[in-house]
Amino acid sequence: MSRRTLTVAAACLVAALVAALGIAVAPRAPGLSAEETGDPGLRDRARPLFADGTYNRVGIVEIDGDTTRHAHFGADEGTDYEIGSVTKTMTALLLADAVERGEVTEDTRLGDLLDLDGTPAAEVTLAELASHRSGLPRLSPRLRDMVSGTLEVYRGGDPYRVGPDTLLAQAAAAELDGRGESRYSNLGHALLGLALARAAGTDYPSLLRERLLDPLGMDTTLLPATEDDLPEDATAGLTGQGRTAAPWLARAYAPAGGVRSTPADMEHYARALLDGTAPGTAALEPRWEAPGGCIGYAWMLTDTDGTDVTWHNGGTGGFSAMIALDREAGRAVVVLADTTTGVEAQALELLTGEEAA
Amino acid sequence: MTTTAIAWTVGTVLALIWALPAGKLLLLSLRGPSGLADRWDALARLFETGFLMAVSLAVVVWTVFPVAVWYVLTALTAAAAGAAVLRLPDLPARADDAKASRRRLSALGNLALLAGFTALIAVVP
Repeated sequence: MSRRTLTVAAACLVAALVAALGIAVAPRAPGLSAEETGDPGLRDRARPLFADGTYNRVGIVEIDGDTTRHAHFGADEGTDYEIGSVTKTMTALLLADAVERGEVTEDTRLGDLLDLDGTPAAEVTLAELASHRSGLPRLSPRLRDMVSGTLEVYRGGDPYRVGPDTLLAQAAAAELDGRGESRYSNLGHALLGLALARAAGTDYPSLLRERLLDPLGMDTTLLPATEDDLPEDATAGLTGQGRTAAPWLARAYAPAGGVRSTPADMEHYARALLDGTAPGTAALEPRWEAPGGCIGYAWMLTDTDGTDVTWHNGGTGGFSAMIALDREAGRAVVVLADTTTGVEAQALELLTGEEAA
Repeated sequence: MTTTAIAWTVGTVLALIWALPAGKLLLLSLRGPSGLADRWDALARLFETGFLMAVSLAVVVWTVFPVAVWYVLTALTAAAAGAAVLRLPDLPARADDAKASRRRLSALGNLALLAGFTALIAVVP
């Protein structure tokens, strides 16, 4: 065999190896699972809505008066999902409930409950925190937190691995910018949850459990503080790069997005919100103007195709979620997914679209 | 700027940053002995392309940015690698010019980057 032939063979081999490596490690965008359970009609209406975008497991709950329908793709009603910022709606209910109990008022200053004396954050009120009008930044303003958070997001990790002391240090470092205007803040809601827990003399997970989850029978809803707290068969979300995402655990930022729930429990939640039996349902009442509509305590209210929709969405490193209520018609839709592609449009379409039940 | 827009922007920028050295390596390899200075030059460009391939795999939000781009650039990289190997026997081991040391350092540096970054993305979830 000539030297030239050997060189050509080596070149072909290297090219083939690079191509094979590229194919082997190629990003895999999952498709909507073909394993379906639940109401056939809802499945038929939902399936086309998830044809575009990256979806894998999806759980849908549709409440229409006394009727509840489920549709699940690659999952069932007991599948657990991180609900991300939908957690804020639960924290908001705790605020309204605490006001009703007389533990706090919506004008209670953060500095009255937390050790923030002398800092701008001490002056903001609980209502401002709940409605994203406090002027606090979205996340910690400290450079080291911004860098570590960004790196964690990119490596598919949990960017919120801080305890209450660090949360307070982050708040103490924050300046208020545009107080009174709408400025979405995870930091603000984390502080709100911590403040409400302090007012009640407990911690946030215990407060949420005692005042909301237990009364509503949401037994499979968790706030896992460590990976050991996760169920053995806990659902693993997928990052935007198609890799398995680390779970987001319920530490100091739990009130802003640390809850892990199931479609079955979210059905309890949505139904209790619709019939007003959930503690602190006053949180849903629109109180202030916000971009595109109004806002109550965390809950957004927007006009969607002529329907007043009360809603909140959520997203973590590997999950997305949406809860949307048509309170006047007694209807609700909850969509949970184990990918980061948003599910807002699907939830709104199922709630208000032409093919809505 | 929406998350989707950010994903497209990052994907487009990284795809271009990956495509440029891969395409340049392919063209220089096909040009003949005048294209690449020496074997270190070929290796430096090959490792650089490999490093950018790994970065793109890890950083681009492939659930939003089209995966087809990955396959197109993988094919370009494979063609460039094959062409570079085809050209290696015609190249001096080390050209005798002022940039020879820089090319060797560049090759070793790019190899270190490729190995280090591959190890990093192998250990993260």
